[in-house]
Amino acid sequence: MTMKKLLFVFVFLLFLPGISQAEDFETVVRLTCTPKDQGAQISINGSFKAECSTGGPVNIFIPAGSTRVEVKKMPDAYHEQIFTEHFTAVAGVPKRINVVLSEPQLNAAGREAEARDNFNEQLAAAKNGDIAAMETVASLYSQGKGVKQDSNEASHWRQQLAVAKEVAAAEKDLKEAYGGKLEAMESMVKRYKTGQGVDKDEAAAGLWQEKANDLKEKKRLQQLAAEKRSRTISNQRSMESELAKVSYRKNQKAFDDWVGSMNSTGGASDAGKALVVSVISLPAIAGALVLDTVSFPTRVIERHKIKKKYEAHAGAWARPNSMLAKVYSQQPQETGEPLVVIAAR
Amino acid sequence: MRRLLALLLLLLGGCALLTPTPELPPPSPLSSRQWQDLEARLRQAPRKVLSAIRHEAQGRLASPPQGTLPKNDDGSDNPEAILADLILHSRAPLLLADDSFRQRLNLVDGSGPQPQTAFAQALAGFLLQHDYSCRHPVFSSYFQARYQLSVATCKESLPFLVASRNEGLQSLRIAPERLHAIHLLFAGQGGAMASRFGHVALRLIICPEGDASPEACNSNLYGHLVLGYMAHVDEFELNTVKALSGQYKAHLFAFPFMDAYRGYAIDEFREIFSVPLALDKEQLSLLLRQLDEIHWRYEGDYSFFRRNCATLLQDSLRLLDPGYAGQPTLASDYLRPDSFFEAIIKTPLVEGQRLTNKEQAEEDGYYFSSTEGYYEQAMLLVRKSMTRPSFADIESYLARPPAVRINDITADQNYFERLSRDQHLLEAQILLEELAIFRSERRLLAQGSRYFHDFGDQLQDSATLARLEVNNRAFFKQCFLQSIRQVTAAVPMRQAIPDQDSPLPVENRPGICKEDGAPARLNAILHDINQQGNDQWQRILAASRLLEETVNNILVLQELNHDSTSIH
Repeated sequence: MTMKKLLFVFVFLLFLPGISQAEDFETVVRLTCTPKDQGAQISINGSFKAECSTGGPVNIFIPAGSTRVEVKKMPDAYHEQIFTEHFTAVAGVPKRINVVLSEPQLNAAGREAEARDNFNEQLAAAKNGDIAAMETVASLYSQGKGVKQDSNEASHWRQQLAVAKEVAAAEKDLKEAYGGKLEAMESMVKRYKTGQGVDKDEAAAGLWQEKANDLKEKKRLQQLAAEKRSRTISNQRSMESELAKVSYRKNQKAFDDWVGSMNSTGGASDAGKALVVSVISLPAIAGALVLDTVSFPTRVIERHKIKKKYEAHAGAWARPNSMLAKVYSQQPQETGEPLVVIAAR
Repeated sequence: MRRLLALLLLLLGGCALLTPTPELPPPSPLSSRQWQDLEARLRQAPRKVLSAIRHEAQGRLASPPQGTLPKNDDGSDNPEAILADLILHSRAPLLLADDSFRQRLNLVDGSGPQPQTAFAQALAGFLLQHDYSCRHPVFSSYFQARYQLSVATCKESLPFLVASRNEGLQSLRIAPERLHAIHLLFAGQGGAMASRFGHVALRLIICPEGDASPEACNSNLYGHLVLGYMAHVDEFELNTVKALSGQYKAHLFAFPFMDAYRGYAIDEFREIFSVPLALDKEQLSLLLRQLDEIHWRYEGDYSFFRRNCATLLQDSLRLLDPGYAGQPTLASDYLRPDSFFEAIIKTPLVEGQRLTNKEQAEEDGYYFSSTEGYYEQAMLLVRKSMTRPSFADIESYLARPPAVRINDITADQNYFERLSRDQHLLEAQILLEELAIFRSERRLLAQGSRYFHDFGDQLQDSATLARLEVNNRAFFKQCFLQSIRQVTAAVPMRQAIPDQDSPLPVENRPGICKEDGAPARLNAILHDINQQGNDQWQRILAASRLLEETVNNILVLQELNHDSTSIH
């Protein structure tokens, strides 16, 4: 007798009190259930073998090889608690398993009952005009979920769905049309003419057409008025600009005369070279201070609104590697100055 | 022939002999006690100087002259006046003003006092005032050199009056440690007569507070100052006769570098060169102090052809830059700024090699290109991107009213959509509007100058003021007329660099002028004063409105750039 056989005889003697089946075994599996799992059915590789009992562990003799242990308990007709374990049984090597059942979950009958309940719920809502429920009912009929598969019913509910959607869109258009939206008015005209989402009604279509025409005319007139106003403003600005230009030239004359007398080729008369006196003096700087006081605080507004000092902006844009670019990107935003807006009078 | 020559020499010599020497005040009497007190305070004086003064004092004690000495207000002795009087009447060569002193006096004081009197007062101050080197660095370094003395370096920060485009006249103190370099700045030729030879000045490279690294200092452009000799035009329009005949006063003005950049590179499309003077840290610090003394004290005549920015700066550097005298090419004066700049960049006095590579110089802050090319580039990009551009160049772009410009942008749907996608294009478009702002500001300034020229007196006359309600009258005087006076007033000056406890001569605007409602109130008053059909006032309003509309154009464009951080 080999050592292996001696060991098996020893184990067999050890397990002897719980043996329920003894024929054709090569090893034994010992399952321990908790008291509350009493009555749970133990299957090995799909064959019922025993029930969990309060009398202690259950020993089941099994052949060697792949083994699937399933322990199932049904607290009621629609729920079950399950424990499963896969292992490879080795001849002469006993296996211990502590059974821990899952929380109760729906079994096949339970799932079917639930689908049926869901269908009934959706059907009731669909019959009450719920568009989403109509779509669900049509789908459930198509798939046979919770109800017997029925393509005719599915088709019926799809038609119901399309009608309901049109009605909803028509309601939205009508609301917006009353709110004065031109596109909605035009949509209502089309709906009443074709019966899309509403009952066909030529009189109602005519009424909405009239309202839409009125609104279009009103908008056209408003547009014309705006354009006219814009042209007027533009003309006014051009006039002011011209006025400023004339005045500027007049202002420049004294200095131009001097420059002209010194330099027969001219050179300082164009707008881009105003205030050339700044080359040799500071009146521009001092003058700017006074002008801030007199000409609205436009410069304050400007600096405040634009936020960045922009003298370096052109250099930063055209020469990204230049010192000006560094300075422009690093400078903090302008802050702290009060924003005072005064309308020009 | 020899006789003729001898006669001529005699005549010339005779003329020289006959030239009247300025009369000195008579020497004052000196008591033994006065001399003992004074001598006790002169222990630190150079031995030879003290000996010469003592000789003069002893002569006066032996045969007391007639006359009286100036005293302090409380009747006590004024030791500095006593010492100055002794020096003034001493014939000791050591106590006589020399050429070097005269040149420095001219540099600091312009058309100043008689040299020997000034010398006596300066030496008395140098020997008796503990902080003389802080107040008078030009003379202090002269006396140190002449008498081979070593005086402790002044550590005080230096005050400057800075005339800023946006802030007006402001006082500023600069710690010498914050000076990184001094550059010679040259603005290239402009198209106008007054600028056709360029302009030359000094640029102070001032470090930001708390960071003295070269990178931080060089890129602190908004903190750099320009010191330049300019005419003070104390009126709202330049008087050409006065400008040509040298009747405006020249001063060494200080103003922000970025104001200069705007004036030259943006407003006048001129290029700027800026090269460091080759000086060590100690020399830089001393030069800054000496320039500060000139800044506070100098007033001379400004003549466009003879005494201009270039000649006055050469006078300064000749005396203050230790290497200048050794440069043969700079021995004679250059009347034109461009000629002077061309000559000096070839000498080792400046780091002329910084300009060898213009692109590198632009990266390092030694060269600032005219912005004309930048705006031209922006205009071409915008023009190419618009469907139907209604302008051919920068001038025709700017000639359109702001409302038309923004309308052209928004009406061109393709272009407008591109602006919101293409950051580079959007910035180009914004740049053109920013240029329009610069132009509008200049237009506004021109209108304003004309208005003040024509109506400045009328605004200040009693009839105008009498029309105002009492409270408004006081407010108008404080907040408006004071600003006008600041333009026409003389440049605030001092006899020395003000010490840290002296109030600086900048009249701060009263608090009431800075309140939120002040501009609106002032505007309402001016509107009432000008309501009776003042065309010039209407032009100011029109120019102001154009400026405001251009600002709004930029704001519309910036709206397209919500997610970008580079514009906002």
